[in-house]
Amino acid sequence: MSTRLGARLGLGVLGVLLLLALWQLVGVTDLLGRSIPPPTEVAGTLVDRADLLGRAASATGLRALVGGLIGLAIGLAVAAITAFLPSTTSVVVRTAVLVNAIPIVAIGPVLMSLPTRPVIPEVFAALSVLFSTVVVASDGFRSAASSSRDVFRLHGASAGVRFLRLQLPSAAPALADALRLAVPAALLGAVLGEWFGADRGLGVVMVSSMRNIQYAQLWAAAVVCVVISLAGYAIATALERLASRRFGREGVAGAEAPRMRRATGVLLGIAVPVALIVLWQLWISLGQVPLIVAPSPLAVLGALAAGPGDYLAAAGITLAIAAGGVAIGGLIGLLLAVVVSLVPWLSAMLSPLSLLIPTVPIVVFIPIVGSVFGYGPVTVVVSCVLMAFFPVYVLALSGLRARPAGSDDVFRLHGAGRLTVLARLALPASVPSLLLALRLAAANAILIGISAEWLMGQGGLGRLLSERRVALDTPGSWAAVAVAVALSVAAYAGASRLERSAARRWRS
Amino acid sequence: MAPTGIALSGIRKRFVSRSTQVQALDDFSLEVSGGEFVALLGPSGCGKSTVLRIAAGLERADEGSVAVDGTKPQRLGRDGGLAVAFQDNALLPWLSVRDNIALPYRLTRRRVEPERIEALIELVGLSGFARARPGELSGGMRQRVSIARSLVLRPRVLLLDEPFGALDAVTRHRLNVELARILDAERSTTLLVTHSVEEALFLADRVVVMTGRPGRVKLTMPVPFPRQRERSILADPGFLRLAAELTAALDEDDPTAAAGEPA
Repeated sequence: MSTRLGARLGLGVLGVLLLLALWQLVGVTDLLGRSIPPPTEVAGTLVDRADLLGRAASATGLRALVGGLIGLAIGLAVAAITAFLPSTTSVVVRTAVLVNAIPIVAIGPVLMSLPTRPVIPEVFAALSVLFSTVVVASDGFRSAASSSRDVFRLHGASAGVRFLRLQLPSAAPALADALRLAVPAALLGAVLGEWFGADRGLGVVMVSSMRNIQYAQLWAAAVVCVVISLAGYAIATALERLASRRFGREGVAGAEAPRMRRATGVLLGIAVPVALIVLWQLWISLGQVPLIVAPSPLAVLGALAAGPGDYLAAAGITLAIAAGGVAIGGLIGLLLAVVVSLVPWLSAMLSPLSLLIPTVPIVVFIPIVGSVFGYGPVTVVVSCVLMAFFPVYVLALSGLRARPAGSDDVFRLHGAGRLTVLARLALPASVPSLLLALRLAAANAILIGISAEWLMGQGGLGRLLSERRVALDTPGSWAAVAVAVALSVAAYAGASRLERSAARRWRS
Repeated sequence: MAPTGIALSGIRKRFVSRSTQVQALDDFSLEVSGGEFVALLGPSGCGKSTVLRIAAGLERADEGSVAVDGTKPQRLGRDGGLAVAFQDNALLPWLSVRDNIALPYRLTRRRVEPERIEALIELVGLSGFARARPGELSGGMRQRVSIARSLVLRPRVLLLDEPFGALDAVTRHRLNVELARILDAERSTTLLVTHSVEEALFLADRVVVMTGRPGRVKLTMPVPFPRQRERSILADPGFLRLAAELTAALDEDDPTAAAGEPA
């Protein structure tokens, strides 16, 4: 057994070395163009520009840390509400899902016209962290076994005592999980925020290196970003292990979230946005905010009504790019996962990849993709492809292995071949994981699509956002934001509906 | 004509893990003749499930010979002549009851016989549930689907690995009565692995008791009651005496067992 583990590890190291060698080859021979520098050159830049990169890294790291901690704190506070008032769970989680489906890059222009301008990276970092924290932590607070909850009820414990002595300890592993998810999310938010005008930081270095054709420096900054994320992720993983060992997490059946009545859900879905819009209108009217800073909902509506074709066309382009990217990236991810699952040595060689992927803040790829494919729509598409590839590959790999207990024996007993097992067992078993990947990719592809469009000035909504902003057309840029939010929320809602209907069918 | 039945002789099997080595079976031999129903009884961890997996060709013996109907079990499984009902029903959650039962046809690449499937659904008492998915069924119903799936190709040899092990005592007993009826209709050579004395005596022509690890045959007891047994046999003094004898044989190997294990 230990020799097999050793062999796996050895193959993993070999895989990393082979990938580095391939990268070196591509870089030295300029096989894919001059924009891919060999790793030796990137390493050299890391040393030569250590000063610049170090300052950028500490700026970005600090922003991600501050924003991430604020996001974590708010997320935990919100999740704690659900621990005390379980009936709020479904409202809170739905609102968090809604907030998460909003592409943060789209609200950049809004934040730029408000006093929040200098802290956009922190705000983005906090927002990226918020969603997973609320969802994971509120699940964690509910994870105490119902028999334990009955013990507390039996002895008449107050809600405070129950929270401190039962819910908080049993949520510890989930909270550590939330922290782990927060690391790459906070860095993603910080880097993305820096593209809205910061004076230093890794995001700034990346964009300026891309524009000044300093490819090695661009890659070096991306490497630093990934390394920071990896380090934070490793620390959080260690914490998670510790918490799981100390507080246990296996075999504990948590309580179902209390379900909301359908009518209440629909009512809330309408009431919350309407209330927000009314508040927004009141703020503009009563505060006499100048139009250039923030337009009223009516002004935004006016801008939409004045040229609905522009917005619809832009939304169509963004949607097409994102959907195409998800389709291509998802297909590549699934195919690679199928091949890897059929070839054990390949799976061992690529295992570092599946460990690394969840830790990478995906936006760092956009400038790199841009430097390879140029400032064009291709870059936007390729960014979306990459964005979809990562979650689909990782989740498909685990989904293909998540077969019902004992089913492998049934197939072996009747002498089924590898392809039969793949077609009749592994692929169907992976459907829930694939749909989860699709849901994650749906909202993210639109976020990445708009971010890339914004950065490249190409394509649909992102381009429209940057054009309207440059033209100081505040109502117009807010209108583009509204369309982007609606598109992203709709994509996410569609994907999660699909996932739910399949989950019903696949549940054993 | 090739010899029928299961013949295991001189089987040795050792499991090696990172820190431990376990001799699961040591010189284990067992014969089940064609059409016979043998129950293999033993304390938990004695290797009885390993015997079944070796007989099914799912596990390879380190030493010894395995023949099922005169051939290798792997070959018989591919031909549909051998089937297993697994302890954890091993149904595919995305397929309906009907499609789960039809799976062996597809795995052995033969034409599905819809009438056979419908007849089995009826036989295991699931009429009206043909289109249900496993997730919508109770544990007992899922086990019936699993039994129907194991019977669908009319296997000459049937292996049952504690098919009702995960169920409560009442359901388990009711299903055993049904199983006896179903198997009488099919007449396959059957090997049942169980740790329930009552289940073994109620169903089998012969009960084989295994020793604790490493597993060997400790005792063989023919069951003198004709098949098609009624529920009332459970209270028969002869039945109870045999049950006490088997329980005593099991307890000798299990220092922690103070009393017989309830069925």
